[in-house]
Amino acid sequence: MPQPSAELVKGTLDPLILRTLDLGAMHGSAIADRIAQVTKGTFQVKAGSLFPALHRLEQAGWISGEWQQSAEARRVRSYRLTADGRRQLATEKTNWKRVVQAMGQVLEST
Amino acid sequence: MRLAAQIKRLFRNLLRRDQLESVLDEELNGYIDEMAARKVRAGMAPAEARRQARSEAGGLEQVKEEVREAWLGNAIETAIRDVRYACRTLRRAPGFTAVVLFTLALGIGGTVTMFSVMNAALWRPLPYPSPGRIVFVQVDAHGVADAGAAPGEVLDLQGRSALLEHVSIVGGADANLEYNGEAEHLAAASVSDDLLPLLGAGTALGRPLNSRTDIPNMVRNILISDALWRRRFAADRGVLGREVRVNNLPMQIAGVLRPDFRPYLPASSDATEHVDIWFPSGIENTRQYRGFCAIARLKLGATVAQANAELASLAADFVREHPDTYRDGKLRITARSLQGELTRQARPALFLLAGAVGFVLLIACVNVANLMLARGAARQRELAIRRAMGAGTVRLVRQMLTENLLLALGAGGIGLLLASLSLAAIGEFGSTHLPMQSRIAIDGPVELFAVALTVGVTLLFGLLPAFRLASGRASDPLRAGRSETAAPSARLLQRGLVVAEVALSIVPLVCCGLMLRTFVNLVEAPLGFNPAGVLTAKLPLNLARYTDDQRWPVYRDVLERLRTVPGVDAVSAASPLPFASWQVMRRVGRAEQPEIPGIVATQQTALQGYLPLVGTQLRQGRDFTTEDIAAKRPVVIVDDRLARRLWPEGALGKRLAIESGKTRQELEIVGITAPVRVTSVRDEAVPHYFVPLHVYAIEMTAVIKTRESAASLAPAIRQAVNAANTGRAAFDIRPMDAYVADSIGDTRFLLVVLAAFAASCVLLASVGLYGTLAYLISRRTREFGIRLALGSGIPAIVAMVVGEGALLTASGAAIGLAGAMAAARAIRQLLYNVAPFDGLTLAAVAALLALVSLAAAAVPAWRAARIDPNTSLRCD
Repeated sequence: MPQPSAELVKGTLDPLILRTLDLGAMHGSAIADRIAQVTKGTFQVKAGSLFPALHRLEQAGWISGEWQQSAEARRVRSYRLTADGRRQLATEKTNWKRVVQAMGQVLEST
Repeated sequence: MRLAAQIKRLFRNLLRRDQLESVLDEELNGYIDEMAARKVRAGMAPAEARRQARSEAGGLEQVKEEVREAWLGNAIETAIRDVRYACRTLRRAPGFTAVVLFTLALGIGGTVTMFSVMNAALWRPLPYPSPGRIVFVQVDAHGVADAGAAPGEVLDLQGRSALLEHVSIVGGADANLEYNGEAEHLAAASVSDDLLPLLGAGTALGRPLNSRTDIPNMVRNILISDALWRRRFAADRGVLGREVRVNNLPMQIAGVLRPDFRPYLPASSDATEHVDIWFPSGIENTRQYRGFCAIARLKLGATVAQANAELASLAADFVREHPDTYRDGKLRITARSLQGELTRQARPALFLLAGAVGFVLLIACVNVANLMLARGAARQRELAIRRAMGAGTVRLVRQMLTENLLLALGAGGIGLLLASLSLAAIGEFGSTHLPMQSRIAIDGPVELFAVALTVGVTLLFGLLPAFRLASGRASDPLRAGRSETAAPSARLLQRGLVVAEVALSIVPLVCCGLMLRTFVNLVEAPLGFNPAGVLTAKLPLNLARYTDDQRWPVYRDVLERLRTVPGVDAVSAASPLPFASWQVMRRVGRAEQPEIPGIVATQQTALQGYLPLVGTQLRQGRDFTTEDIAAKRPVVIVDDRLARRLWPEGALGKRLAIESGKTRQELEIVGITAPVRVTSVRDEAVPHYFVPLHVYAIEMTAVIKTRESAASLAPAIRQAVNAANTGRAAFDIRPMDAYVADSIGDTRFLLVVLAAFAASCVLLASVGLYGTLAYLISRRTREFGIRLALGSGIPAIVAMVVGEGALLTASGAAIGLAGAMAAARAIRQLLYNVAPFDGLTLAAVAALLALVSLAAAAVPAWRAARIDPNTSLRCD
């Protein structure tokens, strides 16, 4: 699979994380696992993209992180969606639909 | 996302950075732990699992750096880190830092000083309402340029001009204020009613002047300045209507002017910036006398060009209506902006100084750029290491610029300090003839300029070396261990910069040399009198109180009393004194040829004994005598130039006609003196003549030949004058030298400032030359070592270094001289008796440069000569 361009990752990773956290609070590696599982391995999110994205979203106020006990009784930083984040997710969904539609119109036009 | 929340987060990030870092640390460690744990569960050995987990994460430090970039305020954080790093780097190179700070501070300080002066003198609008519409009205009449307006002309302009309003007159005056038994001499001005309102000078107390109601009751009303009101009247609001004696006349204080008002009036008005007393002056309907400074306001929408067209046609009307006033049929009335008139004289000198300071700044920049290049070469390794560790070009350039900006800000601060010191020095300088000198200060616009200049300078000297360094290939300097020699292109650039510096420094140096020659010529110019050892004292006398016949006895009494003062060798009197700001100019001709328009000459009233006392050589005929006055003989003494121009065949015994308005006096020439200059030292063309007191009676100034100083003799002089009972105190007791010095004060000021700039240029250029030679030689240590090892002698090495210095200087000099020629032509009008291409000046500048370049090359040459081939070949 060809390496996706940086912009594509940046643009798509944020909504993926937001959508994942919409299901419930989760910590870093769990988010990566979940994304890999849902996309059936298409997106393998590495630490180098995951953590900058998480911090960026937190700085923007869309998610918020706090320390929690994991299932293995380890202290992990778990993120949950904020009210702002939920609104952002809705916006991103609409945007995405519009992009897909537009792309489809261009690519499948005869 | 709310802005307030963002700002809160920004501050939290900046202030609690370590907390943020520890969160990141723990989070990433936890992630690695979990990844490793998964691999262990899949059957991997714990140590191997941990290693693989780390490498899959892609380098913990890189991940951290990328996360940090997502944090708010990261840019500020980086900038702070850059500044800290720059501070550390600069502290580690104190010599470099000091030289750069000093160099830039000199450039910035000089430039800011000149900007403050020019801003105050030339550019800042006058502090009056719509200053652009205030115009000075120049009247050229009787063949004299700027002869001043006649009152009748001013009245006609008021009545007839459709484009000018508030046409008014102003003239400087002296005031002797007596109040509470204490007399004081003050600067005053006589103004027509419209003048102060025209300048927006309202009264803080009382009412404006009104000549119509003030004159008839004979008790004149005056306005006083806020400063005088506070100083002499203790800011008492009850001064209104109080009677004081001014110039022996009772006067009433009608009002106090607002404290912020400062009169900036043309030099021809003879009014200073510190007028304390304002007299009302009516305008008489006469054209008999002139000399008034006229000021007016353009009506809304009118332009200066339109006003000039109107004034030309009005002048033609005047000539037609008053044929006997304008006998030569010529009258020119022109208007120009008051600000333009105020700054007209000083403009060329100020632009010369601004040019010179521009050179100082340019040389400073070139110098610093050169230093930066040399330092950059030495820092290549540090930068290469940083680049190898992943710093991008932008990041490196940014780091360099931060360092430069830090230096520039430091230099800017020192420069501002230097500027304020220089301005203080200018304030102490005495006579500079600078317009509006009192408002020269470091104010808002000047500070803004200083900041802009600092930033501009940073870009100018900093960008080139920064990009040069940042674009270097990363690995080269690391590889270059032993054979470290500067790239030829760098050497070429550095040499080019030194050549530019030398060339740039020559231009102000040549200008300075020419001004020095000018100044010496002015000091040595034959004035026609010798002011050395002569004191002068103004002897005010209310001429209205004494009839013609009474004036001479009063003055004779004063002079006799002065003669008895111990230490006084001789006494006489004359007026106006040479180079006093006000001079009498008349049109004179041969009495028997009234149809030929005369020539313009300066007139001085002199008593007998004045000529020998001031050393004016009497070439033919005799001095005035007391019998001349007693018998009221119509006699005159002319100077050689006047005699030759009117009577080439011999003037003694001929009759000289003096025109003043409609009157014409005929006087017999009884003496001929050497040429005497009284308007200015530079003015060689205006002839001069002397008349006795009864021909033209004005307030006289005593001239006293003595070996004593003004300060030591002043009390005795005042006492003697008081005893003579003229009713007024002697004032302005000062050496006659002072008038001469004042008259060339503008040239002296120009010379001193120019010399300071030129010296800065030479200093900076020699520092640059020395620095570059020293640097290039330090880079060539190995080469010299090899040369020495191969048998080259020490003299040959020294000759090489000195030769290189000489070559750089000579190439710079050749280019600089071409520029200096152009500059010298541009300042021609400021020179006196010096050709723009003055051989002596050029030779002196060349000699100075040769000396400086030799001195700058000497130390590096000496160092090169002491190179030990053994160690130099081994050294890294």
